[in-house]
Parts: sequence; structure tokens; C-alpha cells
Amino acid sequence: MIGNFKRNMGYIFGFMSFIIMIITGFLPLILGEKVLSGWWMISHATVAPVFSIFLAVGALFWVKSTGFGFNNGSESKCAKKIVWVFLILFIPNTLSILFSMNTWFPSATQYSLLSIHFYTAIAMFVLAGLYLNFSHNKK
Amino acid sequence: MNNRSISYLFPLLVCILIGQFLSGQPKLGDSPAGSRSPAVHRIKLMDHDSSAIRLFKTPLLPFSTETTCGSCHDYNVISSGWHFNAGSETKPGRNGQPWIYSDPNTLTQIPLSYRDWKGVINPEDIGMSVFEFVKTFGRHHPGGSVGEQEDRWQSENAFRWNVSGNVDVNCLVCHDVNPANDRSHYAKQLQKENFRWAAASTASIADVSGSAKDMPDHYDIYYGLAPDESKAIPPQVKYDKIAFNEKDEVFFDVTRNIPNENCYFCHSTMVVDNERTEFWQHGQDVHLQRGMNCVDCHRNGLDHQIIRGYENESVEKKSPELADFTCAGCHASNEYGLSVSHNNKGPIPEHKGLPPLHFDKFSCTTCHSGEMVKEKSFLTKTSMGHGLGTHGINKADSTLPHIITPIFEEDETGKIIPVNMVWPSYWGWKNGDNISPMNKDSYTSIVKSVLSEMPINLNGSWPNIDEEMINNILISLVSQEIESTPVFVSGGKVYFTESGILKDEAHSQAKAYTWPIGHNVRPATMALGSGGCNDCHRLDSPFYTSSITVDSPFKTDDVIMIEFQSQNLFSAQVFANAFVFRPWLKGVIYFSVFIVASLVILFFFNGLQCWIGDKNAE
Repeated sequence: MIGNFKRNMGYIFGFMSFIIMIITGFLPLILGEKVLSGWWMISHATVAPVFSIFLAVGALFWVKSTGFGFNNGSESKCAKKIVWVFLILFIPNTLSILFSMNTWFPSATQYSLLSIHFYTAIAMFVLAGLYLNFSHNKK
Repeated sequence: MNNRSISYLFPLLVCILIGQFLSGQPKLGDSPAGSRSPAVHRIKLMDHDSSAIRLFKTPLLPFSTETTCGSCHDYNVISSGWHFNAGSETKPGRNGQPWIYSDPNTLTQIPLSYRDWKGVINPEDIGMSVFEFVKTFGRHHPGGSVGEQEDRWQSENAFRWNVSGNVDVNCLVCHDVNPANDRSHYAKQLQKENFRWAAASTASIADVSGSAKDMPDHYDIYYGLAPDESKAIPPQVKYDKIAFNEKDEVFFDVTRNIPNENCYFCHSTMVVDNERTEFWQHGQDVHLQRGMNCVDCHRNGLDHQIIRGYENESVEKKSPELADFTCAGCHASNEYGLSVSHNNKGPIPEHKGLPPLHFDKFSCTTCHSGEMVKEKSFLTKTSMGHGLGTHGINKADSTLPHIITPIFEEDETGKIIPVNMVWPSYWGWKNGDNISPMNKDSYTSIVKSVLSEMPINLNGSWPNIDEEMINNILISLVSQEIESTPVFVSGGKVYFTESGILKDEAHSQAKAYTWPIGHNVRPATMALGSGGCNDCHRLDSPFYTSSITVDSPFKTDDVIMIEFQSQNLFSAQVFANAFVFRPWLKGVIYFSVFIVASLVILFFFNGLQCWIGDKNAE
């Protein structure tokens, strides 16, 4: 029970941190800012490691409970596929912004890395929405 | 009309028509055939009446650049150029360095210009006539401009203009590469009111003596003075006979490719730094160090509309080709990695590790130009501001005007750019919310009499005054105007007297005047950020916290750099703090990525295993 409670709290905090990442990442652009800067950037960068660690630990526990196959566990095949694609997209989404924080790539490449980060983030947001939809429908 | 008059009139009419036709034709020197070899200027000198100068003539007149150079080059087109068109209808463009009228004895430091830059004051608004302006500031001006715009001349100076002559565009100040050309003579002659003689005085073939200033209003350059009229020496010129050949021609060593030293006479700067007291300790622009000339970027055609080289210039002047001569023109690449310039290609910087956000927030000059920002701002001296290169100037470090550098300020587009700054200090009349500067004749005697007890300040800086002195001066000025209030604008504030007590308030017209810095450009290894993100993103970074002097005769508190930007210090320091923990944050994220990547790899291996297992089962 306690273990389930902790796990569920972990999922909730992880989801909340994901929402904060989405808001801080996209809202300024929707409001007309050209780039992310100032307090939006500070918030986004501060929550990012929180989200990452929650996602990583959450993924570990999820794989432990459902396994690698699509036939195990209580979730539908579609929902599982969505989760795996989400996890796959997490890698370029995170690495693109991590690589830009080092002096490895020129600014021209940094534009490309930023684009990768942007579009994978959109895709992850869409997948999160689809996952919630499929989970809700299953219930 | 009889046949005789027709016989006179007809040839005259033909000449007029031919003249009209030819006036539209390019002159000899303005239509080169294409040879890159410089034309040898062995030419006759012409005076302002377009008469050839011959050594036997009396009086010998100074040669006029308008008629001498203008014989082969269209003077009217040239004199519309940027250096010569202040006071005309030309759009002012981006703020530039003003002329700064400063007098520690009257506590004044006023940025002046005939251009409509925001924050400058028109010289006529402080009671400075064009004649006085030319005498005061013509030392580092290449001539033309208001010095030959007769419609601007005040009528009370009409006689003096007749005696002195107008100020031609001085072609030699830029184009003469004879090392014997002495530009400081130009300044000396202008101070003596020898305007007509000033350009000739710089040439090595001419020696000017005498002073138009000492001549009476009725002095005529042809008739001179009556023998008993005055012992003063009239302005006169003597030419070097050896310089003239048998055809009365002289050789001018002039060039189209102007050397940097000629530009430096008017465009030198010297930063006052206690740690770099020797001339050799100051760097030079990296482009010049690499062998380029100023005119390689600051080009112009016959119209002398010299390229200023700032980012929006091509848009303002509706000339897209000007974009080739900005920083990005040489040093930026298009989507194919090719230089955007059609003319010049410089090295394309990679800016490794620099997030693209910086290119939206900053101009190139923010990181690459001007003095490296330190804990405290510097004073800088400039040719235009301090008369560098002329005789008799006060060479003390703290002499007025006080030009402060570098300041990182947001421009009207929101980009942070480096600027120089001068805090105006002047006496004015406040009417409602508007402050107009006082005519200097209104306050000079009053201010000097109040400050007369003060010791003479040899370093040319502000005297040590107190509020009571300012209050006394303002009280004395009250009686001069009924409808307006006398005020003292200084250090970003407006001071006024109310019931005998000195008060102050902030006012938009008291703000510092700033103009963007383009040079000296520092090399990449000396750019802001070359030491890493911490150059700017740290708690005590001078980019945000550098102490900026608020210059005023009063003792005033410094302000910090960030007050000239829209962001606040707290958010900048919070973000800077993030860089302390950044390696840890990156470590946590890398670890998370490792875990997720491992799961994904295992997922693929599991899928591969299942697929192989299925194949075997088949």
C-alpha cells in the first residue's frame, strides 16, 4: 500500500513537472516572445532535472511492473506503444539541449539542436495527451 | 532689337545652353576610365574667385578647395556627403558623437549638434552662433556644413563672415597623404577666424600668418588695411616657390585610399585607465592590426555618403548593398554556410557553445567592441570632444568633457549595445514640463561671480561646489524670466529653488546622452564570453554590476550597469546562480538519459529476441 502510494505520488509529481515544463517552454512563445529567456528560462531549466529524474525512475518502475512486452500488464497495447515512443523521444529531446550547453557545437548547429528540442517536445506533449486519452477510455 | 544686339546676344545664349548641357556632365575627375593607378595631381591652385594663383600677384590669396579641387570634381555633390551635411535636411540616422561644449567655470557640459539626434541640443539654443561654433569646433570638422550654409548665419556676424570667409570642404584633411600636411594648423587658423585660409594652412606648400580676428569689420582682403589703421597683421599666405613649376602648377599627393592616420586625426579615442598609462598599452582595432583600412568598410562614392556600418543603415537609407558592410556582412553566413556579403568575406565565427538567444539580445559590438567592461566605468577622451592632436589643450585625465565608457544599454529595438555616455549639465528654463537651455550670455557672468572665490582647477574638471552655490545662482536668475523657472540640469536630475531651498527631481531631459560604440573591435580571444559563460553569468559580473559614474559638479552616487537595461538584477543573479549548480543539473539529466536509454535498448533487444524466437518457431 505504502509502496503503491509512493509510486503514485512519484507519477503525479513527475506529471506535474512535465506540465510545468510544457507551460514554461511554450507559453512565452505563444505570448509572442521570440526566444525563451528571463524567468521562463530560469523556471524551465530548474524543473528540467526534476522532470528527468522522475521520468527515469518512473520508467524503471513501469517497466518492472509491465515488462518489455505488449501483452503483459493492465494497460492496452496502444498505451504501451505510446509510452515507449515517449521514452525514445525523451533521449533526443534532452540530449539536444544538453549538447548545446557545451562548447562542442557552433551556433549554426545550435539552431538545429534547438529545433530538435522544440519539435520533440511538441511530439512528447501530443503523446502525453494521447496516453491520457487511451488510459481514460480503457477505464 | 537691332542686328548688333543680336550678334552679341546669340553667342551668349549659345554659351549658356552649352553650360547648361555640360553642367549635367560628370567632371574630369569624376569619370575615371577604370585605371587603378592614382591620377597625378599636378594642378593649378585657384582662389575663391576662381582665379589662378600666381606668385607674382598681390595680394596672394589662399587657394580654395571649392574652386581648385572643384575644377575636376563636382563640389556640390561632394559637399552633400555625410561629413559635410550637418545642418541640412539630411536624415540624422543613428545617434553619433556630439560636439560637447564644456566650461567648468559655468558648470556646463552640453552635447551639441545640428543633427536631429535625440538628446542633443542645437547650438543656436544656447546662444552659440554659427560663427562661434566654427571657431570652437571647426578644429576637428572637415569643413562645409554650416560653415558655408549662408542662410544659417546670424546677421550680427555678417561683417565677420565677410572678413573671415566661409569654410570650404577641406578635401585635404582626408585625401592629402603628404606627411607634412599639418591638420593642427587648421584648428589654429579657425581660432584666429582665418576661415578662408584654414584649408590652405594645412598644406606643406603654404604658410599662413596674421589673424582675421584682429581685423576691423570693414577689412577687405584685396585692399587690406590703411597704413595707419592698425598694427595688427592681416591674414596672409606665403607659398613655397619651389613647389610651383613653370606652369604655376603644384603637386598634391592625394589618394582615394585614405590612410588610417588621416581618419585618426578626428576619430581617435584614448581611455583613461590608471593601469594603462602609456600609449603603447592600449590596443588597436583588430581590423587595422590585420592590415585593413578604415575606408575598406567606411566606403563612399562621389557623393561622400560614407557608410557608417550599423545594422539598420541599409534599411534606413533604402540601400540593401550597405548590409555588406556591417559586421554580419563579412562575418555571417547564410543557410549554405556562404558569406552573405557580395564584396567582402571575413572569417565566419563558429561561436561554439553560444546559445542563439544571444544574437537576438545583443549586437556584435556588445561582445566585440569598445573597452572590456570592468568593475568601474572609464573616462575616455576623444578627438572631437577634447581636441586631441591640436595645440594648447588641457591634457589632464579628468579634463572636461567627461565621456564615460563602456555602458551596455538597450536600444530602441530592445538589443543591448555598447555606448559612450555624457551627462549633460546646463542651465535652463523650465516651463511646464519642458526645459529649454538658457542662452549662455544669460548666466555666464552670474555663475562666474558666484564661483569666483573658488580656487582654479588646473585639471580642467568640475570645481568643488555645494548646493548653496547652485541655489544662489538660481535665485539670481529668477528675476530674468517671469514665466519660466530657472533650473540647473545635471547628473540626471533637475535642480530648482523653491522658497529659497534647493530641490531636485528626475526629468527625462536630464538623461544622459549616449551614442553607440563601434570601435575598437577586439579579437575573438578578447571578446566578452571568450572566458566562458561566467564572463557575464556570475553574481558580480561587471556586465550587470559595473559601477557607472553619474557625472555632475555635485557629488553623486554611481549607478550600476543593469539600470540601463530592462532586466532586473535579481533575475540576472538568480540565473547566474544556476551556473554554479549547472554541472550538477547536467549530471542528473545525463544520468536520467542513461537510464531511459538503457531501458529503450533493452526494449529493442527484447523485441529482437522475440522476433528471432518467432522465426525459429516457424
